[in-house]
Amino acid sequence: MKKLLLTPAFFLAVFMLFGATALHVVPKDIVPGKDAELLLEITSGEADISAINIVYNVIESSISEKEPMRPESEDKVYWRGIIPKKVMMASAIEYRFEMTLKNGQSVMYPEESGMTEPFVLRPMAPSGKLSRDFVLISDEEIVSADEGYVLAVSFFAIADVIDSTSIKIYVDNSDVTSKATIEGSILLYRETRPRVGLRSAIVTAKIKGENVYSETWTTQVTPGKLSSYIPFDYRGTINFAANIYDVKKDDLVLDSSLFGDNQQDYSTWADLYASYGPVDVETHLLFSSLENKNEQPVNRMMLGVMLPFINAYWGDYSPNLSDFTLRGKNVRGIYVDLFAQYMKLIVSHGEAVRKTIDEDSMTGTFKQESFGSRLQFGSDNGLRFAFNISRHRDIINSLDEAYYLRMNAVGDTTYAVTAKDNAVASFDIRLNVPDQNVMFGAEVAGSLLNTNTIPGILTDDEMEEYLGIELPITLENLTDLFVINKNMEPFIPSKSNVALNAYARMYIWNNLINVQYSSVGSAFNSYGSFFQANDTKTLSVSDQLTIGRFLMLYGGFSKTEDNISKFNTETNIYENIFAQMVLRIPNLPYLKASYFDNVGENSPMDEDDPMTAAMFMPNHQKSRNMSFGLGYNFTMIPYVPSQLDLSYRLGNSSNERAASLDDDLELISDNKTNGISVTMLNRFSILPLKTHFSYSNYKTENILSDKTQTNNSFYAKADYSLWEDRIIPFVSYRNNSLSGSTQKLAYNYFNAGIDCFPIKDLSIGLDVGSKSFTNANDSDQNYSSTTLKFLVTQRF
Amino acid sequence: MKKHILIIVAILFLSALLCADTVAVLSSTKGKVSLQRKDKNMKFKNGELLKNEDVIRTGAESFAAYKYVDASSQVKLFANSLVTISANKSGDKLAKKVKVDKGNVYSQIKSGTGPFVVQTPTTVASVKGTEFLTRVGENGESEFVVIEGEVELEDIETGQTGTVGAGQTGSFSGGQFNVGDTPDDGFSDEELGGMDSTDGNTLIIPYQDKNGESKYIRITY
Repeated sequence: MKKLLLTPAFFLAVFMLFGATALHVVPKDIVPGKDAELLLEITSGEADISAINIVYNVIESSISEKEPMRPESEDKVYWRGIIPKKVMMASAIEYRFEMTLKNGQSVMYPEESGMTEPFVLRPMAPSGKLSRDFVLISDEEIVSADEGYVLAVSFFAIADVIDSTSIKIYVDNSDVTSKATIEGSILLYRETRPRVGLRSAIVTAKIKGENVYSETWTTQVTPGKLSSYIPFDYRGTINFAANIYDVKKDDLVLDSSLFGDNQQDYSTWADLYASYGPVDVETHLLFSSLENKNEQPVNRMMLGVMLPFINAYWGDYSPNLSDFTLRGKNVRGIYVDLFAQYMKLIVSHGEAVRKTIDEDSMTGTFKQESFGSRLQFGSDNGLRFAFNISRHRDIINSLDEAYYLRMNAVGDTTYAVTAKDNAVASFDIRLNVPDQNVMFGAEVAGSLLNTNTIPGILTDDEMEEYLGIELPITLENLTDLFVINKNMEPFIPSKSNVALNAYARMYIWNNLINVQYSSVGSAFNSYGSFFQANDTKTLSVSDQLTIGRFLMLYGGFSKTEDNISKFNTETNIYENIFAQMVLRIPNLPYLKASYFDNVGENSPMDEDDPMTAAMFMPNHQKSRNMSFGLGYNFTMIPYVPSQLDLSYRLGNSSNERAASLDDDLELISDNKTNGISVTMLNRFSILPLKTHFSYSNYKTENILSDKTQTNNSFYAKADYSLWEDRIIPFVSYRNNSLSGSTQKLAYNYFNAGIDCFPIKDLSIGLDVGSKSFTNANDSDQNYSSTTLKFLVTQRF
Repeated sequence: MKKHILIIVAILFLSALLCADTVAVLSSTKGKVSLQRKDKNMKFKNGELLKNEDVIRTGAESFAAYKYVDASSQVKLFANSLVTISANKSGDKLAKKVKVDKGNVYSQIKSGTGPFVVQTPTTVASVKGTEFLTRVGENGESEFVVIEGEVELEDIETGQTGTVGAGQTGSFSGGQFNVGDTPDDGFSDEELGGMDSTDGNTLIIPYQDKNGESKYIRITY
């Protein structure tokens, strides 16, 4: 077994995504056998984030797992999550954060761009003293798999003083104590059909309360003559959760959803990962009582099989073809990826959904038939190019007519929402030169959109009358590919439905430089990809400089300009400059700082045109934000080692407008904000008690109206470990208040609960909470509610 | 009287405990090897924990080896051998005993790790940190070939004693203690193969290379 080494694994990274930035410091004090706690700070754009997951895998394993993170407070600045202790027993873990925005887009941090490495956690060396009183008896350095792998260790010399219940045996970094035999002064672990390769083992224990550990012993297991044993590994979780709400207002018990709370729900979900030789299998199932056929689906089902040359998924999956065709959308169907060294073919077919909302704010969900395909040639470590296509067609009868058909005043049928058809084709190319640390790439795509397929296709005669020319093809034959009628935008494809993206990345002298240019036509649409700003071009340049392991600087510039088609009478330009710094010197607090500057202004297309000049209203927006922070792990505080993170932010935003070109700009809004966030985690050494405090105070001042609004958030939690972490009762309190010149609102939450771990890998959690809302200006809005949450998780 | 009964019961209980104690680990077997415990044949695997009074028998062209729990001694049984193993804790050391009824048995013992006794039908050998070979014939005649260290022999019948040094072979015959230099060709191929082992101490030092991968330095001394 690799000796567990103390590696001050240090990696800082800053990430920028559509205005949201995040910062993560890899923890270095990871204790084997305990969950690894990860803290992620959102330095800006936290309001855009809806969920964050930790996506992790054992290094060199293709199977990744997810753990959800939880925001520490309503402001969602700090998020905490864990990598479970069961996984932390393995060799090094690499992980990224999957951030889901409110628009549904999900991206990874760090990016999976091929140039950015994930974060890595390496297990620490066992604490304590090396003891040579653990003596290896089974000292064969090379054994055949036919003989089996035997680990026999004697601790005869310390048998009288060792705490036998504290003995732990690790083979290949996995805790195998439960599978070993400890008798008298000898411990024995055996695998009758061992995995071939280098095996390593170590033993830890306590002697009179002091930690000791053995040497690391390695054994080479060679293939045997008998049929080789292929190990079957599996792991996963099964969960059940129930959330029950009870709202009281004026002594009446009411539906919780009326007050913005979630509906009562019950759900069960399971994740299973298995591998047998070259075959990996992955299954995810989620069933919830919130499932509603007229809304976005909640249930999830997926079965994936991964073989050396093919990956296939059935059920709910998010295909990833290219930026413009299919990325980040859930498709329920089938996904097949055939790959060889220089060629890849991906086919995805199934059902997606598209949310609709009409003028009356009535929402519905169209099911879409989704199809995507990618044919790629070349190598990821050299030149590769690919052709991509995607098509999303709303299935008209998937939505009740009540959601889209209306009758107007004269009795004609109108459409509140319409069924659409969208097709995108693209070509992308990438040149990657790993030896030189450079990468260039580009993608060009064209799209077709039919904004209303309900009337059906045009007949050939109607089309010829519309166009005035004779068509060489029969439109009916193209129905399966695309619905062509008068609702196509644009009717004749042109440059306006083309999008382009080009980038260059390089790593030179510790600088990770990224240059990107994108241009999206005014009529380009892609329902299979995340939101694209139409009629816009963007240029961005960024540089991340890392100096040793102590200093990281990150800065960049971006400029976005719309109206590239020149159809509109005015053009808007937005410029953004940002800079971030993290300084970490061993044994000292780490320091962080950031600066963001955004400027937006419009300009007329043609100043000399009297009509344009008459309609044009100059508009100038500015916003500037700065933040400073520090964090430190105070291990030297007696009895209560604590981890502290502190951030201070200030900023201002203003908007100036003029009535016409000839008028002076007038300030119409001017806001200043400043605030502080503190989070502290205390682990008591004399008691099995852990406390957690989080406080934030943000003030927004409207300079023009001289009104101030303050947002306070306070969170405190304490949990006490009983019976060697088998039972952990906890209590928590949270207060969120918004106070200002015109309103004073407050939410108070009190929760008490218990987390139990009665047997290995089983956890049962119960959380009873009380919530109250008060409006100091209107007591009629006051209400209180009780929530009961129950969660059972079984890992295996 | 009650006190005596209690003491007897305690002794029996302790004896039972000691008899049930794990004393050694079966580290290697080849060919036809059987293990008996309390007169019953036992199924076993490599790494089997051996108890007090376990009996190991090897057939033709077979081999077995075991090590005592104090990691001080290794015993190898060659073909057609029959031994009974036992050990008892003596202070902070383990007093070890091998009863060889027949066959050839090679013993390797670290000095200062407690008494080690080899008993044949005719002779008892007390060992103090050494390597030696015990040969017992079908009629119980025994000889001891010492490779390293020293062995003190005692004839069970007459009580006569003698010392065999390194490079010597000793035995009792007709009440006489015989000792002489071991001839150069005094070992069979099977015995030579079984005695060959890298018994040097080995130290493994793990480290991480510049890529962060775990590597090992192995030093044998």
